[in-house]
Amino acid sequence: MTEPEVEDQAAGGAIDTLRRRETPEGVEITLRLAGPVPRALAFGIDLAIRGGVYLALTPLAGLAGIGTGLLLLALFLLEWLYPVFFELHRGATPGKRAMGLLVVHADGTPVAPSASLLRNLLRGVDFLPVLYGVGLVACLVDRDFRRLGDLAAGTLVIHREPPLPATLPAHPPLPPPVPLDLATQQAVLAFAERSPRLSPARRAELAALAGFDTRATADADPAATLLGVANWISRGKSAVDTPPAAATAPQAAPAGASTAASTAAGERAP
Amino acid sequence: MDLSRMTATARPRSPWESIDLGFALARTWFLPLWLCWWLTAAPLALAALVPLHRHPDLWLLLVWWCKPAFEALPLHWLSRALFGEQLALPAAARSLPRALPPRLWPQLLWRRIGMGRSFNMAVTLLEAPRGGARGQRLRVLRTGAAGWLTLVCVHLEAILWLSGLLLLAFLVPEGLPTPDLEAAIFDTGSAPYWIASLGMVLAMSVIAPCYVAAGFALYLGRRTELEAWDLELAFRRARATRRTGRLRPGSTAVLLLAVLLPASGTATTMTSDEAEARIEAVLAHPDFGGTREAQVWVYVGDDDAQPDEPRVQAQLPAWLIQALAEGMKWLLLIAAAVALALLALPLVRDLAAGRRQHSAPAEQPGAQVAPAEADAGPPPADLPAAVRRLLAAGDVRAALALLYREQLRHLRAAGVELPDSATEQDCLRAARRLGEPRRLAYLEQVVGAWQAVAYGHRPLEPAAVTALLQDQDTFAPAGGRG
Repeated sequence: MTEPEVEDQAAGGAIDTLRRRETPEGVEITLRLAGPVPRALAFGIDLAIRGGVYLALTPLAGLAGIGTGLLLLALFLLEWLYPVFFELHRGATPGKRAMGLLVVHADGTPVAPSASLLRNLLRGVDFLPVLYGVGLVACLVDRDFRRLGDLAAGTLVIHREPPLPATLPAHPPLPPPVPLDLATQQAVLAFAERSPRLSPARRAELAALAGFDTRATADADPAATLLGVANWISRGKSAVDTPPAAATAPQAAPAGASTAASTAAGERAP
Repeated sequence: MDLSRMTATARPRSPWESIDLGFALARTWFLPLWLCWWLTAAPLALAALVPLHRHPDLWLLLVWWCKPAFEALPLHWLSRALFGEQLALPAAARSLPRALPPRLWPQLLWRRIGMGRSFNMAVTLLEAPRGGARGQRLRVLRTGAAGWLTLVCVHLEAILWLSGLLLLAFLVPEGLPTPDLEAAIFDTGSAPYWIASLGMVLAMSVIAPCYVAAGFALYLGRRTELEAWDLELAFRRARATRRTGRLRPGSTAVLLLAVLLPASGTATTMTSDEAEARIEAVLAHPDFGGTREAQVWVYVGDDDAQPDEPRVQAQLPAWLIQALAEGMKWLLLIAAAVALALLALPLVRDLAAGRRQHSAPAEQPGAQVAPAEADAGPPPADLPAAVRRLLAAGDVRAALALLYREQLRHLRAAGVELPDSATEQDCLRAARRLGEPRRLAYLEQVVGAWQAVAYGHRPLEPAAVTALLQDQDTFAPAGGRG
């Protein structure tokens, strides 16, 4: 249905870190798995945060018996419940948020208390024999980069959705010279979005590849024609008054927003 | 370079996602990449052993320093495999001269130290830019994530090495000499150090494919982003579709457009029957829902009870069945009643026993300790006679109890308040407060004997009781008896 899926079939299972899930409403969502490197960096950030909290708590040790008790209590709570607390309230620990990561169930739903508790209690196992050795090996071996805690709790660590891309460059809308299928519509929109970042030569090359007949249009430049078609597809709405629903359509480039784009197509048809 | 043969999805990715793609690639092709690494590393490591067999630290340093050379072949292999050409191991060995071009030398000399190695290697070896072009190309493609990748991979290597070493140490049985971990890390030249060094090289070899693939994926990601490879693929495909002049079956939107767009010529000339057929064809597409097989159990009535019933009725007359059923019912009822009664009987017995225990309160102190004779209300009129009678009957305990109760009676008569719950020691304390040394001494004797017999179950000669009785007689008049 979307472009990458077709490619999957063509290449006999292309390698990627995308996992598709269908919601009960029949909407397909895409999870973008996070691997060991971003997760290790997120852990480093969390470690630094916890270290800072410990440093701030060291004056407690001056209070003799009760101070030591409080310190030990803080140590216990921070080591075991810090990730659980943040995963349940904000979806991920501050370190993971800084790296743009999110903890979800395997089906993409937000992580529940039991799963979060389980995956964090099993940190004790993943940590063995030293510094997450077992977790690292599990992460490298597993297809979805899951450590043992994730395997037990049925959770995934994924990249958050990227911010919505920039709006389309303004251009008078042009109807496409031929009917375009969904994937091509998405590609045209993505081209318009990303054209400011492409070199002029590459832009012209891509537009020539698209191969629209430009004789019928006012523009002789194929790249400008593509921009016009993109504006026609997004109903000529400019950057200023683009509602969120329409703004997701351009994002459809590789994956994800196929539903938004198809909705747009369906709405436009009458 | 034919993008359509790419075995990884081309799409714009963040640098982190590119690194993750690299790890996915390394996981998919781990074995060939690992072997490719060893193909270069093993000969060099073995050759270096000859001069450096006394200096494992230098040997390890050399192996570490030459890592770029080992990573060249996996990179070469990967760049081929990504476009669908997976070299077998012999073919990879033959391509070694091409994978290790002279431009690799700077990587092994003055460019060895640097955080962006994985990424720079991909640019240098795969694009082969000349002279100043390399620097320019790197400036264009540069991404900060390459440094982080190197940093993390160094740590992953160390973790893997240390984990393996500790695991090995943990698994040594208790009887054997304990492995010297300190020597393994610091004592150059010792056997544990050699094992640790080999473990380090092994850890390098495991992380290297991931590192190479992640650097390569970063490079791919940058080029996909800058050159819009995914768009190129999409446009090429669209053009191919148009050229064949056939709409792909999956593109429902196009069908919808073709049916409903006023601009398209077919919509105006279509009859309603044609339109209906077209609509049905569109709705038959899986996008609009499909059929699903599900198995559920549905009650359809008991059809095999019918043939059985007449046969039984034919064999036995109805009244007999009726009588049998009735008899069976009463039999079961009686059995149930009997079972109930049997169950209830012990319960009732227990309850009754419990009530009897509750209704037997201790009236006086000492009463509960000498239940046999002594709890019989008033004391006997002739105490010595009663005691002697009991002694003659062999009941030392009851005789002592009588003596004890007699003393308690004296205490009460003297105005001492003794509650029913008072123990022997309470009585003694009360007697001490009374301040009659002789009587106290006597009471102590009686209590001692009583406790020995009643609680200690120690045998006591009847003669001792008789002696106590006689002692009691000596001051009975003085105690104001009666």
